[in-house]
Amino acid sequence: MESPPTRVLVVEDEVKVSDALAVGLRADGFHVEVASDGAEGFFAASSREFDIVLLDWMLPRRSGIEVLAALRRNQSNVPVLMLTARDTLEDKITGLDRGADDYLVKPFAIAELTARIRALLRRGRPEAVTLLRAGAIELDRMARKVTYQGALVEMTLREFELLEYLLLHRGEHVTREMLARDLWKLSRRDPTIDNVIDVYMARLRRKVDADPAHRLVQTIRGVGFLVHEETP
Amino acid sequence: MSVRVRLTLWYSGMLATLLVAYAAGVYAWTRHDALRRIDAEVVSDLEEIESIVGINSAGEFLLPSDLEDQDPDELKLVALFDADGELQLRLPPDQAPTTVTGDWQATTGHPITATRTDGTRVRVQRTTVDLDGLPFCLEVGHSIDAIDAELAQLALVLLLCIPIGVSLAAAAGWFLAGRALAPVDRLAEQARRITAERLSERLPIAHPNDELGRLAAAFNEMLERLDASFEQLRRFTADASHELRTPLTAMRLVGENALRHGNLPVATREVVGSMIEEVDRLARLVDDLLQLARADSGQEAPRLEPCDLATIARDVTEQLGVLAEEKRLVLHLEAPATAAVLGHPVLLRQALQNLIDNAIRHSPEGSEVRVAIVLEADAVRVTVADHGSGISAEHRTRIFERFYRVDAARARAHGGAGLGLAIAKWIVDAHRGRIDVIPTNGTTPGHPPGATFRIELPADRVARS
Repeated sequence: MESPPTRVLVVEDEVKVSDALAVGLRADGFHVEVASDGAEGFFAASSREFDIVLLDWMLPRRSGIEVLAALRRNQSNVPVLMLTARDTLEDKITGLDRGADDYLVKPFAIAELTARIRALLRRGRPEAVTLLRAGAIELDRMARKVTYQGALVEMTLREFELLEYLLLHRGEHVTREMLARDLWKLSRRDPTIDNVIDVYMARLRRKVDADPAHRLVQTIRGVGFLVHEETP
Repeated sequence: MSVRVRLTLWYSGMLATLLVAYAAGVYAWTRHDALRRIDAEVVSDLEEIESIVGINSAGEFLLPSDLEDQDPDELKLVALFDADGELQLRLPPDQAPTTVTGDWQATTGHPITATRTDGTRVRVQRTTVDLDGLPFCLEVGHSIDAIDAELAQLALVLLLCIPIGVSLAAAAGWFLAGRALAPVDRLAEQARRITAERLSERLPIAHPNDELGRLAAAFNEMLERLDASFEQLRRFTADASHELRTPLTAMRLVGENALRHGNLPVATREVVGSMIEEVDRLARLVDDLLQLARADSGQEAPRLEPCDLATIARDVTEQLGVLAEEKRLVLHLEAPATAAVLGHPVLLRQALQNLIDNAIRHSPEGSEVRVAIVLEADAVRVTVADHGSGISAEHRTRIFERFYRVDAARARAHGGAGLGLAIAKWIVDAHRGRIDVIPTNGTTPGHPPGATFRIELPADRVARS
């Protein structure tokens, strides 16, 4: 059964950015509305129902942080994800202090944005599945065991976590930024992590995704990785 | 030499010169005056005696009879010499005579100082008298022993007073200079406390119209300009971060939409993907540049907290270990259980990561990268040694400069923008540490020496004790 689409309000003054966001999010099945300045954004957010608000920090007429504060004053609990070009720690703390639920530094990938939106919306409902399956791979999250084509596969902890993460994001795009943040706990864009991720990905493929005709994880240059829903 | 010492020296030197000149003047004038007075007496005595002196028919000299018996304190010494300088008569007869040589005539007419046979000195005037047709030398003199003694005493007093006076004046000068300069020291101390992060502070001005007040005012004006330009830099970094990242965001999103949902031919996908990769690289460059710009404008003074460098190093080597393995390098970490420093863990991690990544990238396949943490007396030293082609002496100081490249072609092949070491240096500096690079020890002859980067951070004393 189809659930109703998630309603997203994008408050962003740069037309190219908001257009691209709308296109990308709609393609991922979201219902998108765009407001192009702070006042319009505040009006939209307080007069209509949204599941999530994507709020740019630097906006004309009313800054994102003011809109956020005004929303919270009006007892609005809508999850707010700040999109910002500011990357200092203080900015981040300010944003989260004023009631933002998450924080994404520009430039970011739509894949990462949708992942964060999904994470915010299912917050409080942890993944209950203990057994993850994809094609010939079976991953037991409790026992921390992986079998491939029925045979037990030796894995380092990092490899296990990577495979687990990929299996939890089946059907989605996974960016290197997501892996860096969620698995390596790196907050900043890290110049070395791309190579590290590639090495782990190559090792993982050798162990559990060796069949080139039935790739589970597909590398998409410039985007990251696409984890196929079902191995073809 | 401090201004205080210099002022005091100048002051006392000038005072000493003045005092010496003054004393010399006093001494010369006193001596001149005393001699002038005695000379006047000598001349009048001579005139008196000259008018009386004579010779009787028996060949005896005629002189005033009161000369025989005189007050010993005011002796008039009278002597008569013949033309050859032979002493003919002296009065009082018990007094030691002066000596006169044959050319005595040259010494007549003006007072001179002569020495008596007993060594004492007299002021004399000589004149030629004609007695019975023969020229005689009549000499009248007054002793100047008393004057000599007085002058000696005066000289002694003056010589003693000068050093005492100068030392007193020097002490006073030292004190005054100290008092006058104390506000300058305070000003310097206050000025030192105004750093890039606190440029809005101003120096207090107690007396706006005196020299120090004007100095403080001038300083404050300079701070004003500095503050304005730092503020401009801060605004610039904020604006630049927005202006640079917004188009990058648009490019990234548009490209990603095309890749994820468009039905692009493979070749086009490659092109778009490659462009997105460049967008990511630019984004990273913007991050690095802005981080350095913020550091320059004093916005990113990291808050230091107790942290363990050994744990950070283990994390980093664990993360980068796979990169070493791919190049069949041995990445070896030698570290104590804990290495407590006061630091910013994220930044320290970044610095170590930049160095170790750099070492891995520049190492030949199959070689070794050795990371070591050593606890020194009051510092923690980290070394990252590789066996790559090393860094020659002329590059060693410049390698930490932004965008500096030892070998442009090679560095570009590695994909670095040349900011990693500059950022590492900024981080180490912000921790009041030191960073440098030396050739690696113990390399095999004939092989390149490799490079060893050294970081020294002050130890966290609280955690150690």
